[in-house]
Amino acid sequence: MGGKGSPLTYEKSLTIEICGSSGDRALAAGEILIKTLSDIGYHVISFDAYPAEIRGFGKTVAHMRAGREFMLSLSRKVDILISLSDRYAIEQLRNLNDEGVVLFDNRPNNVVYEDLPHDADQTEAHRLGPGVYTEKEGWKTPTKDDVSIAGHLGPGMYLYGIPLYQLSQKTTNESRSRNIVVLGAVAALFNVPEKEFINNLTAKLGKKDKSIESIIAAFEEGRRYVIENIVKLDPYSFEKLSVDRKSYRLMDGNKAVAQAAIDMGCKLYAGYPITPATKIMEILSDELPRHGGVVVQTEDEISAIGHVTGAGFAGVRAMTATSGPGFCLMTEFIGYNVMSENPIVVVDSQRGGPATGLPTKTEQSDLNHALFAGNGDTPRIVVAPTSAKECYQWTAEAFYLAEKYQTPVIVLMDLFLSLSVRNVSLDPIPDYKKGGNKFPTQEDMKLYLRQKITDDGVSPRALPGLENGYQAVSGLEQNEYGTPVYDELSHTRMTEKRFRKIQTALENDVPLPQRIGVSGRVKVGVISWGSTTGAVMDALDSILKQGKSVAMLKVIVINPLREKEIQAFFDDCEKVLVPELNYEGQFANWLSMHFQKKLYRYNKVAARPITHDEIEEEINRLLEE
Amino acid sequence: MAKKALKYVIIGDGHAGNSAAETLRRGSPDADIAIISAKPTHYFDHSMLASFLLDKKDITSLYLYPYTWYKEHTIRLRLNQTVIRVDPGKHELMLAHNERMHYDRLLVASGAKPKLPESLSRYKGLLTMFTDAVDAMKLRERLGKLKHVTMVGGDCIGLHLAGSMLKLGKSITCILNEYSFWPLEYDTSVKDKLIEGLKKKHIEVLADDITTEIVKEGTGLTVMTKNGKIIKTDLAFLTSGMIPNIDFLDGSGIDVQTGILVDEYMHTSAQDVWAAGECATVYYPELKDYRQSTGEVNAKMLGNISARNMLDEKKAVSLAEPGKITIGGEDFITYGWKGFSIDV
Repeated sequence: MGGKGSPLTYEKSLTIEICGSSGDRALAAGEILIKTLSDIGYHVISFDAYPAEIRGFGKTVAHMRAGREFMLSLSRKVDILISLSDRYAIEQLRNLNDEGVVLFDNRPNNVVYEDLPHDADQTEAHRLGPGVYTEKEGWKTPTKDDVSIAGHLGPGMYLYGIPLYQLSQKTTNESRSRNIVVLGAVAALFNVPEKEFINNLTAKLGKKDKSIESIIAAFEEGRRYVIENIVKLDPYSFEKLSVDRKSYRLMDGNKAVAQAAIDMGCKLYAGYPITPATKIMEILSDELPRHGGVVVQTEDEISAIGHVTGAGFAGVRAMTATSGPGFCLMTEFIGYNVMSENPIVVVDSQRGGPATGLPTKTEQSDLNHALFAGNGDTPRIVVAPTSAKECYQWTAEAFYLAEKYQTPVIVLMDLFLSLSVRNVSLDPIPDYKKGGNKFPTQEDMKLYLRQKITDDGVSPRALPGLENGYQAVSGLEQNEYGTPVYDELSHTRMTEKRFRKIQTALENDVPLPQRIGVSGRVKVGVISWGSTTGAVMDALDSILKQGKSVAMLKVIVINPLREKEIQAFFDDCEKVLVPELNYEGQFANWLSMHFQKKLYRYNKVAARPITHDEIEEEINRLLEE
Repeated sequence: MAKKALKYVIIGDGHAGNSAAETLRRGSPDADIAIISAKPTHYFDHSMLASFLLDKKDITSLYLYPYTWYKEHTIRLRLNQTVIRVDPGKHELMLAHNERMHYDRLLVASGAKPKLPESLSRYKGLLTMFTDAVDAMKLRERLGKLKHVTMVGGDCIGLHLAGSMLKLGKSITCILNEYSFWPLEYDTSVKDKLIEGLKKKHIEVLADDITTEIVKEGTGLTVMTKNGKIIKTDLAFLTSGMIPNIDFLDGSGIDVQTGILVDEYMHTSAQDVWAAGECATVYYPELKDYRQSTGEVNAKMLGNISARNMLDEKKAVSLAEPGKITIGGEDFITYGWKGFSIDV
C-alpha cells in the first residue's frame, strides 16, 4: 500500500456506511467496526437502517460516525461507503462526500452488471434483478438489469476494489464472510489496529461460530490484500488514541432504559413486542430474573399496561415499553392511573406513524399523544431524554417521579434513540432516588385516607401489608377515602389535587433546562427536545466556533414545563427555531399554548434523524435573513 | 422521432482520451460519455512534475482538468477500473470487476506503459516506474532521502524527470544504449550531442552500456553494468521507453502491430472502434506509412481528430509540428512531444 498510506490523522469526525442486502451481514460488520473504533478511543455513534419486513432480503445499512470529540448526532454526508451489495449501495452514493471513498467487491460471484446512463431508471433496473454470466451458459438473464457501483462514482471519489467474494471463498469456503474480509480491508486502509478488531471479532462471533479461525483468516486476507495491492490515496485514517475510556460503555437507548430499570429495582416488566422497543424486553428477560424480577410477555399492549398497573397497586416498581401503535392501546390505562393515582412508567419509543406507519423509521410524532392521550383532565409527567446517557438517567428519574407523585410518567424516546449505539459514561443514580414513595405516618394511619387532600397534592401511599392501610381503587372519581363520588366539590378538589402535585413536581424535581451557547441576547435561539437535541448541540458547536450569536435551550421535561426559564430564553432571542421530526410541529404547538413568542419551525418527516448539518444550514439561514 | 444519443466510451484518461471527450461533448451535448481508466487517480500532466516536486503543490491542482469539469460536462470518469476484454461484434467491454459495458462508439486511448527489457524483468520490483500521479506522490515522499538516482535508459520521460531531479540538487547517472532511447532515433550524431548535453548538466552518462544486475543494499541499490561499472544509488528509474498498453485487446480481432493500427481517420479494423495516443500506430498520408504515436502533442491532436470522426466528420490526420528538447544547450527535434528544456 503506497500513496498517502502513512497514518494521517483525520481531525474531523468520519462517517462510515456499510451497505448490503439482508444476509450480507452488513450490520454485524458495523457492530464490530463501531466497537473497535470505540475501543481505540474514538467517540462513536451509530444507527442502522434495515427493512421493516422480516425476510431474507432488502437493504440494510450500518451507519456510524466516529470522532475525537464528543458528538451526539449523525452526519448527513458520508465519508466512506462500503458496498456489500452494489444494487443498494448505489442509492447511498447520493450522500457520499465529493471526495468520499467507496470500497466494493470487484470480483462478485459471476454477477455481471450492465452500466446504465445517468438518467436511467434505477428502480426499474433493480426490479429486474441481476444478470448472471456463466462460462457454460453465457448470459442467463436480461442484460439491462443491474449496475455496478463502479460506474456511478463522482469524479473526485476514491474507488477501491477488493475481491471480497474470492477472498471469502478462499478462507471460509463460503461467500457470507465478505463482511469480515472487508473489515480486514478497512483495518489496513484506514489504519485501524488489528488487535482490537480481532478481539471484537472473537467476542462477537466466537461464542456461536465454531470456525472462528477461518473467520480471522478471512479478516487477515482482506487486510493482506490491501497492503499488497491497494494504493491508498484518500486522506482518511484513524489511529489508536491515548485516552482512557474505561468508564465508557457501548450502548443504545434501549439498553440504557433496561439498565436503569434494573438499577431502580424494577421487579415487573410487561410488554408486547414492537419495533423499536422490543429489545428492552429482550434484555430484561435475560437480566430481570437475576435481580429478583419477572418479565411477562402479554397478549397485547392493553394487558401489558394492565399488568404494570396491578404491580403499582401491589407496591412493586414496574414498567412497560412500546411504540406508537401500542401506546394507542394503552391510552385508557393512562387515564385510569391518573385517576387512581398509581405510579407506572411507560416508555414510548416513537416511530413513523400514524397507525402501523413506518415500523423501522424514526419520528417524533407521538408528542401530542403522550401529552394529551386520555379522556378528561389527565395530568401526567412526560420526559424526553436526548441521548443514551439521558435514557438511563431519565428512566431512573421516571421511576422516582412516578413513585413520588403517584402518577404515570411517560418516557418519550424514538427509534433513533432506541437503536443508535454510542459509547457513554453513565452517572450513578443517587440513593435517595431509589425510593420516592410518600409513606403514611403513624398519625396518618389513625384514619388512613388514600386520597388525602394535601398542600403538595401528594397523598400518603400505603403499600399492601401495612396494617390498616386498606384502600379501594377504581377509575371512578373518589373522595379522600377512595369512595366513589360524583359531586361538584369533590371532583373539583380532586382534579385540583391531581394537577397540584404535578406543579409540586415542577417546583421540586424538574431541573432547569440547560442553556448552551452565547449568554444574554442572541440573534437565533434553538429550543429542542428528544433526539433532535443531539443534532442541535453538534450544529451549535460548529456555529459557535465561527463566533456567531446563537444559543440553545435543551428541554427534557416536556410536562410540566419550566415556563419561567423558557420565557427568559425567548426574551433573549431575536428568533427562535424549533426543529423536530414531525409534520405539525407538535412541540412548537405545545410551546405556543404557553408562550406568545413567534417560533420558526423546522419540521421533517424524512424517515431518518435530522442531522447536525441540516440544523446548521437552517440556523445560518435565519442568521442571514 | 429524435435520434437517440449515442454512448461513447473512452478507454484511457490521458491527453488523447480527455481531448476526445471534450470534443465529443462539444459536438454531441446529449451523448453519454464515459472515460475508463485503470489508474487510481486522474491523469497527471508530466510537464508539471518539477512544479509538483519543487513547489509541493497539491496533486489535484496538476490534474489535466479538475474533477468539477467532468461534473459540469456530464462526463463519467471511471477511475481504478480495468478493461480486460473488448468484443467489437457485440459492442461490449468487460471490466475486471465483472461489469459488462455497452458502447455505441469506442475510443481506445489506453496509452503506453514502461518497457521492461527482458534482461531486467527479474529486477522489476527494484526498478521505479514513473507513469502516473501515484508514482509522483511516492517520489515526493522519498525525495528528502534521495541523493543519487539512476536512469536506466534515456527516454523522454526520463530526461524530463532528470531535469526535475537536477533542480532539486540530486546527482544523476544515465545508462544509455540503442534499445533504451525513445522516441528519438539513436544514431551517432544524436547520441554524441545528447551525451555532451547531459555532461554539461553534470549528469554522469554511461553510453553504449547495459544494466546487467540490480541488488538491494539497505535502503539503496547497487546497479551493475555490462561494462563493469558499479553504481551506488538511492533509486533506479526504468526509463527505457514505452510500449503500447493494449494487452486487453487480445482476442478482440482488432489489428495491431506495435500499437493499434489505425487509418488516417484514426479508425481501427473493427467497426465503431477508434484509437488515439500512444497506443496507436497511425497511417499518415504524408508519409504513406504508419508511425507509432508518441508524446502529448500527438495524443491531444489525435484524440481530437478521433472524436471528430466518431461524430461522423471525415477528418484525416496530418503530422504534428515538431517539438524541441533542449539539454545542455543542445537541441533535439521530436515529433509528438511539445518539447522541454532541462537547462532552466
